[in-house]
Amino acid sequence: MLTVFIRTVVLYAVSVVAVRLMGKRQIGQLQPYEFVLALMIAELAAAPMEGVGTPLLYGIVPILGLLFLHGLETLLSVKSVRMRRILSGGPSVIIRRGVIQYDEMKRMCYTASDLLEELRGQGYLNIADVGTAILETSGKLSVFPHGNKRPLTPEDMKVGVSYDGIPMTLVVDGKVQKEHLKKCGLNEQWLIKQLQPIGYQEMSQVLLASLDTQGKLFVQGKGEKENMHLIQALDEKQVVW
Amino acid sequence: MRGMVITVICSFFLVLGMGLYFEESSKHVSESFIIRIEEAEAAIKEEKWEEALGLIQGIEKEWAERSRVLSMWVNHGDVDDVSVGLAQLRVSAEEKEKYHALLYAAELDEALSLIYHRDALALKNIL
Repeated sequence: MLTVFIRTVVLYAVSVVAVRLMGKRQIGQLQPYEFVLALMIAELAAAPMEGVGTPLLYGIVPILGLLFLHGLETLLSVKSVRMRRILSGGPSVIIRRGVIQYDEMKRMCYTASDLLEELRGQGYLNIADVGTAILETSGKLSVFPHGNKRPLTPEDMKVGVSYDGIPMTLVVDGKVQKEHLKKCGLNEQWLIKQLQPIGYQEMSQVLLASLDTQGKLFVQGKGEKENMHLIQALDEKQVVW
Repeated sequence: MRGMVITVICSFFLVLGMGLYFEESSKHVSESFIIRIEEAEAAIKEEKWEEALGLIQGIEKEWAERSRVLSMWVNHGDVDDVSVGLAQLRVSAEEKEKYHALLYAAELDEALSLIYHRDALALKNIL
């Protein structure tokens, strides 16, 4: 029994490393060859896990082999557009200028029911509202409404807006994120000066502190100090990231 | 990108290197033990039981050591077949049963040959 357990741990670790090396993608965004790889890795790891008579290498070597193939395919896809098309296919325009491209749908084996289902899933009840729909290589449908049906933007209303960048987390679970503080051009003394007036004497009392690109500092405490604060800690002009 | 290239190259050479090493190792073990079994077989045919038993016990001892390493890349069932075959051969030699001893020796030859040929780089194995 212990043998089976140890084999499981080893093969699991190898599988996780292999999938991790494949790169960051959610399952739904996998390319066809990546999807096949993920299935095969699972199958290859499972067989030697419980089959004590099968050498562990019978699981590890094929996984290494798949890793090599994946790396090769990725490299080829990056270097050559043609190879990318052969391996992953290309996006297909299913709705163009509001008109359903029936021939393209037939080619993709995509039915009208599939189309309507995907549109509803993305919040488009009325197909007449859709200007463009593109079926991506991952199988996901990207939908864009007609110009007059999309939500108003500040540009449409001729309203100027400030830069909306990535908020920097300065404290996570009581621990100061020194690298982020450095990127903001700030230091711990500055942070303490902001936190003390709102009742936080120590960093360990803070669950989360995040500074946005408008200079607003969001602070949430933990335990007895479980309150949310939003203070103007910096002037917008002082935001450097 | 560089990391990806290094991973591709390293994993390729790792798999290739391991494959070649294991194949050569299996071949060497298989062939060397077959030769020794044939020596024991020759002794059994001439009914030189002491000599045969000495050879078989020597083979068993060495097999016990080699099989531990061999089990890393050879199917454990195949390794066990050889171990069982050797035990059967030894007992039949101890009991001076010529017919059974020769039968077990022939089975052992085949089991040892399979250790190399079952995983060898050959079209019949790939297909």
